[in-house]
Amino acid sequence: MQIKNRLFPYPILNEEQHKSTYYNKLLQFEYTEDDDDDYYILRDIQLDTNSVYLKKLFADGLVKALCIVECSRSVYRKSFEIGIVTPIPEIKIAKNDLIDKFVVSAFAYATANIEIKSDEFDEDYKGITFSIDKYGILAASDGYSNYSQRDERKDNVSSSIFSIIPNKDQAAESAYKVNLSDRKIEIILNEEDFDNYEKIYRFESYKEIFFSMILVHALEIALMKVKQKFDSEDVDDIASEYKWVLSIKDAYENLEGKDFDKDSLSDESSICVIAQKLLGNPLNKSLKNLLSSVNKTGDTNDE
Amino acid sequence: MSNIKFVSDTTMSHIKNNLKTFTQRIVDNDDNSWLKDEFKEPIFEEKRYSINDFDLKINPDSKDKDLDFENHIKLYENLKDLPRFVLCDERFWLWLELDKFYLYSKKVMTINGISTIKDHWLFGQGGRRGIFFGILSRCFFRVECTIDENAEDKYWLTRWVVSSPERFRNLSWRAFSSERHLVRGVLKGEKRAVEKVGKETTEAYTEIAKFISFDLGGTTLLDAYSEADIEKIVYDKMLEILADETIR
Repeated sequence: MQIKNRLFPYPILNEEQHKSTYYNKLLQFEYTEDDDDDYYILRDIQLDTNSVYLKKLFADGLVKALCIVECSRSVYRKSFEIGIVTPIPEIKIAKNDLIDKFVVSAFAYATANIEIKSDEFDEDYKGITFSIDKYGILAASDGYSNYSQRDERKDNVSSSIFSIIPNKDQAAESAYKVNLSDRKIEIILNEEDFDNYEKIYRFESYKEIFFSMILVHALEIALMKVKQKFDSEDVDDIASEYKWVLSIKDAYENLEGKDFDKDSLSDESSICVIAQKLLGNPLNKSLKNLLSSVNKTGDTNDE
Repeated sequence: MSNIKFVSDTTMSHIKNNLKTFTQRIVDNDDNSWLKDEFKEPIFEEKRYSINDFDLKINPDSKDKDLDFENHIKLYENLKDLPRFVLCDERFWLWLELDKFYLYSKKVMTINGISTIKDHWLFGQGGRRGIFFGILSRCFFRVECTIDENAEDKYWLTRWVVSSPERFRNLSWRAFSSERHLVRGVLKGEKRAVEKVGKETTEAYTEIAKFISFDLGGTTLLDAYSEADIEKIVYDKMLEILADETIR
């Protein structure tokens, strides 16, 4: 629940000061975050303000405050009563109730039909008495967006970050496409190429050739996207949009013994090298396999 | 009891990139044996959560409303203990549609081309709205959003909504409908008004949903309303709307 740029016909105290119609008064929605295996935990939650007027309305029971947690994807929305100035100790949100983005916001509202008038209002509103309906919003913080990350790998046997799929509408001999979906790096082949891929993939020695030909390139595209995203986001933010990033992060950190971050993909040549390393240097293996096949047939061209 | 499954990500990608073929396969086949020929990769992934084995009774185009209600309750009662992230996952519902309830899913809504599959078998309308469009997921959430645990018959509102889904459809698309006490309050007010006046219109339900979102929700904090307050406001507004001859 967020009010964003909604306009009100009466003064409202907003945490974003340019939207606030109180003069020189602040509103701050604060809490500390913690979590365990099962819960996100908000601690010391409070809606703090230096507005004497709002604090008095609250003390007189004419105003109450709610913290609202909403996750649209999981059809989850719950409100928790909080204090103005005095923090409440804890709110626990079950991780199983959340999918991806959830918003924690806070609002103060009128508990009855009341009238408000204060010298704390902006110049345009001073000296005017406003009638506020019961439940009318008097103070607002659109709060914070968070991401609930669920590592599905715990629920499954390990699975590839790649999906190789046919597109029956693609013309024969058309080029393959790489699509970065939220869960997989998709490699989309025309039907003929897909049928051929399925036949050769059964042979261990040809698997590495396929890796070299296609997967390295697809992974490079994915790493380029991650590099781009690192300009403004950290790895957890990127992983909330592209879940396969978690697998890349784990594989990189196991391989290199250091954190997967912006510096890991500092230039394009490093991306090419990293993609090959993460896939186990398939060129090296496929050349060895091919040479082994050639040697077995005796067709060495040795002179 | 058996473990639930999800459709694998690779199969999901395969389906979404080949909707025309996928739709035609469903139209042409009353059983799902074609799946193993169509998809070479593992189609379903088993998860560590389990559910009872249960059936749904075939109900073409949901014509039999009593049977429809019975199926709604069965789905809800057997799935309600699953974690929310499972119940809101497209891959879970597609598994139920392709595996456990294939023929039921095929018959419960006439397939009118790709759009039926995209919007009603998959979450083609998006993450949240897709849940309320899905042929099975919407049944579950119709119950979940309308159950009245304090009533003697806890499904009394559910029955009213299932008998005429337009009573809930537009409401379910609004963000505030994730707050259950608001949904109950709105439905109670609507039902009481409709029973008093003896008539209802689809447009009236649309108008109520808009009224709550934009009029009420414009300056007041919807989440703070008590269920009783919302019921009274909606009852009064519904009477006003139904009395308006211009609303059809």
